[in-house]
Amino acid sequence: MTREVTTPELEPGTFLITSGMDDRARASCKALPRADGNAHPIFAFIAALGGMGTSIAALCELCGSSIEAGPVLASTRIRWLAPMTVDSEYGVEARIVDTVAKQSRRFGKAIHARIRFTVLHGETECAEVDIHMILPERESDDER
Amino acid sequence: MSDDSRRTWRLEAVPGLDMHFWAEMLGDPNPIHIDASAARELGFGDATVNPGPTNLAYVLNLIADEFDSGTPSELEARFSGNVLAGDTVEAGFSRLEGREGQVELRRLPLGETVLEATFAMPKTER
Repeated sequence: MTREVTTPELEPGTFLITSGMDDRARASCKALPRADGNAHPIFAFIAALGGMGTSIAALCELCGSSIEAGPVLASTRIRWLAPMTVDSEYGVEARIVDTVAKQSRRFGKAIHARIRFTVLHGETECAEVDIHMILPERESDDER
Repeated sequence: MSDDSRRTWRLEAVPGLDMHFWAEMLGDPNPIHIDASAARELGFGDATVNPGPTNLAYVLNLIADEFDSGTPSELEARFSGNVLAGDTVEAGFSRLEGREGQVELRRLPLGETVLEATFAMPKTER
């Protein structure tokens, strides 16, 4: 069942990728050192999620779930459109594309939410990120 | 058919403490990344759960190793399992044709696939 989301456009936000952040991320995931000023490519995703103007907890609530229910990332599609350098701030726009209630073997009744993010540096689109999240529905949540 | 000569990328003992750092960057307060008891109560296992994007970073490391530190133009990933603190993981190409292919990230020693991704590199180097 597809749900109507009353506020599909999420608040815009920003994300600053610092060189220290990139250094630590690279060290923790055993990546090659930064060579050309560009952040590790995973920062397209990190900036999208970390920079949206709505918190993940609020996003879960908007989708009819809660962060305590243990939402999981099911899939993602990332398009890298322009280099993303460190020590630069990026704008993030996001919208909920749709939410669908499904029965899941693992989670029981769960909400499948698809969210699209655009990561910008000024007017330049640097990345487009789509995510599909599975959010266990709140036990007390009535069907809407 | 697998090709054992293909490049692989491995991380021994996924660090649990770094999950805090990744969760903080992602603005992700999901307790399964920072509290082993929360992960256990929700059925994930007996250790904290690596954020999915961190697993994706491992796959991007393999691609960067293969393509001279290059960034893909596009990637689609499906997260089919979890990586827990202390796990050893290995990423390898299940298909590689020119500048595109498919990668799998597996938990060792059993080899359970936890992430599958298809990717394409830019037509020209960035």
